[in-house]
Amino acid sequence: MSPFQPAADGHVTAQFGALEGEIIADLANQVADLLDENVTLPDDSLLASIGIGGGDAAPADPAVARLLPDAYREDAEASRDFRRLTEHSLALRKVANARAVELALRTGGTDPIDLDPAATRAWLRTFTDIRLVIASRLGIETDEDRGLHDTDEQLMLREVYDWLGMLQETLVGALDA
Amino acid sequence: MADTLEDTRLDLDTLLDTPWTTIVWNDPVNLMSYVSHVFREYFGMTRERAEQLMLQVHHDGRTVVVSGSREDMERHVEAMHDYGLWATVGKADA
Repeated sequence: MSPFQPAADGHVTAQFGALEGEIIADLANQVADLLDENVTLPDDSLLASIGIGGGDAAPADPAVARLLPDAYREDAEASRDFRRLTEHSLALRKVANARAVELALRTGGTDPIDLDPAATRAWLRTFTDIRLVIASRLGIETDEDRGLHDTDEQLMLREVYDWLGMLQETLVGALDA
Repeated sequence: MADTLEDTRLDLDTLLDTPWTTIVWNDPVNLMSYVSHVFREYFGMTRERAEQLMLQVHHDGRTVVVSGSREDMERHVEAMHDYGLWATVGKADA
């Protein structure tokens, strides 16, 4: 049975085994920490309070750079201006999504978890962000890439990556049902 | 009065400007079903239109999903980044 079942009023019911829930909660936590640690906080507290701020260049960590990409492909100045205005708030939203998923799993445990439409949006985004980070770590750059597969950890990451993709597919299916 | 004239000229500049575009790029991570879902949910596209654009992204490596003012395109690109899609602002004639 799919861990995501459509419910009334656009809600979705999620239910995971203890180990599965733990893995997802842990990965969501890692993505939130990664963003917390790598995003430049605005030094102006007034701007920060309304969510405006960002770095001058794409984050050095390629995984973080993929989560917060340049908005212009061949215009570094326009990309920088955009980043200065939007990077901080975008990162904060991604952190909030990941923390919401982590909290729901840690408090819900193996019981059915009711996801309202806002929650499903957070879950879909967090699955995506986790997979983007894993793909970056494994060097998956094209549709054909198998990614790094020399160590047990890399092989396991690839399995988790594929599993999360399957989960996301079922969540999209539950929403579009 | 000078301010008013200045404002009017700025507005004309905006109107005459080459339209800007929101380009979504193919990436190996995002599922086809998810990309299609995002196009429907965010842009309010029909299922057919969303599928068509999603397939263009997949096969051509990228596609223009919408065009308009630069301000609107930046808003859309930020929304796509929020979803985890890889999107950039482009020029309609480029």
